[in-house]
Amino acid sequence: MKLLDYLPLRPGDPGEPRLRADVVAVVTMAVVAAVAARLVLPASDHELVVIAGAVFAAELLTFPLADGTALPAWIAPLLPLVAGADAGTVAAVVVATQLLALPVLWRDAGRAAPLRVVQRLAGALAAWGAYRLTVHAVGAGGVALTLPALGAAAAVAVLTEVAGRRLAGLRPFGAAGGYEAALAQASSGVLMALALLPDTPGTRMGVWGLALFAIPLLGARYAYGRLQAIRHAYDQTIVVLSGLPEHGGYVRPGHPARVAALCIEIGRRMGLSATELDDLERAALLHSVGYVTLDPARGEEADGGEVSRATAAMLVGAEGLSRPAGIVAAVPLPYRAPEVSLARQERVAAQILKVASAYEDATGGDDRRAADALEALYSAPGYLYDPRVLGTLERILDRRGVPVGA
Amino acid sequence: MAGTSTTPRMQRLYLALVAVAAAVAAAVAARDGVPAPGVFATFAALALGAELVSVRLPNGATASALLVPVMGSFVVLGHEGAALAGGLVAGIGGIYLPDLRRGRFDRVLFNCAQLLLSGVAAAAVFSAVGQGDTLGRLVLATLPAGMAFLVVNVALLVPMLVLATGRPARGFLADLNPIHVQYVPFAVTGAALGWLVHGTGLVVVPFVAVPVVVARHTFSSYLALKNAHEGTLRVLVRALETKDPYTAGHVERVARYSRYIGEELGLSEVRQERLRYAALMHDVGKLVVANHLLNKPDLLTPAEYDEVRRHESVSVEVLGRIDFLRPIAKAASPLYARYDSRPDARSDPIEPYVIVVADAYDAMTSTRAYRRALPQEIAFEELRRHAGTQFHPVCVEALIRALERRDERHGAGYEDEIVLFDSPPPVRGTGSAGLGDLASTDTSR
Repeated sequence: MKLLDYLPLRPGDPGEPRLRADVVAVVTMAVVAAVAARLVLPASDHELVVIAGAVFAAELLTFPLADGTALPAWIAPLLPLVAGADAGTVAAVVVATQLLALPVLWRDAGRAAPLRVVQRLAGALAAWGAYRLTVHAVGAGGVALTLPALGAAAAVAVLTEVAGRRLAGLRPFGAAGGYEAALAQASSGVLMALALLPDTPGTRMGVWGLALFAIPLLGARYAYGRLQAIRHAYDQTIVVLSGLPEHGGYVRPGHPARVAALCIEIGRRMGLSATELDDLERAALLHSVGYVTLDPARGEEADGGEVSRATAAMLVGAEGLSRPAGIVAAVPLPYRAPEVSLARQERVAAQILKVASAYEDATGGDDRRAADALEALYSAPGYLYDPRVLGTLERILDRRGVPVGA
Repeated sequence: MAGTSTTPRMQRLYLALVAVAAAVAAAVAARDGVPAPGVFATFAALALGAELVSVRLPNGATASALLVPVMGSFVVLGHEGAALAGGLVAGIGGIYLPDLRRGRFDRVLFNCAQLLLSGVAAAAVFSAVGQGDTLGRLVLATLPAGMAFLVVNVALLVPMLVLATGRPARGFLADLNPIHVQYVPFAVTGAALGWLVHGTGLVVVPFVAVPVVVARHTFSSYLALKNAHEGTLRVLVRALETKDPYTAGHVERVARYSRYIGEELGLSEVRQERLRYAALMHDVGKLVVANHLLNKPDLLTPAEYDEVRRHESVSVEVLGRIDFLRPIAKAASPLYARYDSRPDARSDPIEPYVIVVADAYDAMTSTRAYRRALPQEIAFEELRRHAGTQFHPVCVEALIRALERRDERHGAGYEDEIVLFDSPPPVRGTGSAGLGDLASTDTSR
């Protein structure tokens, strides 16, 4: 059975207040821009003012990405702007709206805000250049001409965003889920630009196209907001779970968090993918949570294998935690054990976790004990610790300037 | 047995009725003209895609963008074959490939027929209202047309659901209420798309599909992560129950009673969800208390009592570290959440008081290591006696009202599961994690 009216927007859901704020911001900007246009400008410039309003509103309509950063919807209104204005107007509109949005920029980007203004200006001018070049190269008229030109402008705009993120040292755009958001923005922008095309008399939508084709984009933004809210709650729940052994006094305060940070560093250097790193991080945060199900009277004496088994048993049934559970379960295994039931990546992750946890146990977060700790790990018997992981750890400590022995 | 054998026959009869009505409606609509094949094929493909990427919501309903191609075809075709095209485009939405793979042809046929009727009804309303050729008029005309679509859709669907499940129609109507403004964005987007296609050609169609597909993809990631979050909460609940077998089911029951109270109080869905998470986590601090103390049948020594009470502060701290639970973190401590402990209790969020009442009720009506379950009447009496001091009076009355309306009985004689004891717990006494300070109030008086 299906029912078609039951859309994801349900009253009172988390994320909805944000959507409402977005809609209010966009509508307010459109109204203000329309009123300003009516009062100040001659008839031919109304559309430009509304587009400028959309460029400003788009800075407030941000798509939250997986790495905690946000992608403002700036690519969508940029396309009608570059399709209909000369370079000077594009630059003026972008600079003016960026200055107006500076308080918001400052809140989101802090000291990087001026850099972002420059990045926007460069991106807009590059997109304008790409649009004009393509028009010049194709040389035909109508939609057939406009579509490739809009595509080129959108591609260049996305490239400047990618470059800007790289300059700012953020996680790669793709890993943060940015390309999907950029694609949705670019598609809506193409529709907005086509709605403003001058050579479709009688059926031209004009600036109403901006409002109407913002609707699918708002829908996508809503889904991003929901995803962000639940991601946040989920991460925090994991962190809360990971803190239980500390509260019970079974492990040193901060142990799970430090182990997780070290695991991420080792895992990244050993070439684990983003998903594998996420699983490894969860496994590291939760690796000692099994203490709480053991009898605490003898919690301190419980051996590592017992805790790992208890932790894995706790996590294994939970959706989303089965891979971390597998990693924790594999921790007690020697690194050369012929364990066929595990994927190779899970075994690698388990060896990383074992080394990181043992190193953290030995140093207690104090790098001055690093040399002794490493020495002890290297000389552990019976293929306990994977020498490749130990080597990576040693290189990481070396880069940090930690003395790692003779 | 008679009932189960007639129901499939009734279902088949109803299916045949709807199918015949759909065929007649299509024949009548065809007299208004036949749509241009290129336009029709494009929008039909869009309808097929819209259904294929539809999302199944947690409540079992489906969210899809079918109204976009339906409304789009109305606008593009104007009066030339719009009724037939709209009906057929909608009807094609019934071809849901997973149903076909599972061999549920009856389901596909029913969905095609009922959606075709919905589409033809929407086309009739659209052509009645949408006379004229300005963008504004067309956009406005999609609103009553979309409403007509949904009303027919629900009206045809609910009888089938009733026949198939035997559950009363009222429940389905509450879930599938067509009077939701949420169809508006899809209908309006469809009109805008149709207008643009009219001006610039079918090449623009994919550009509307992209944001919808991105939204859908993101929304299913959201649903998957929500499941993972629930799974993590179940890890907590399970761990609690392994540790303290006497509280088996306690956390889930507190969550259920909290929901009852929340429904009586008319809390919004977002607050109900937050209440549920807080109820599931309210005892999380118990995980750090030693097993033998939780299950001790005798009186606790003062030191042991402090140790057991420590779980409350751990719970409060833990809940406070989760952003969206922070406002109600003190729910984890009956001491903080005493109704009379705060002069401004009326302006506080009510959730902590809800959980305290639900927790106390379940503690009294279930058997613990130190006491057998009390009868429901005694539990109600205790709750009412401490309403206004320990408990929020509104929550107490809401819980009693909700339980009486549902005719639910808990407590002595109505326990969920029989627990076997090494040494039977005493019959009297009210001390427990949930009622700890109720007991101390009693002795001080």
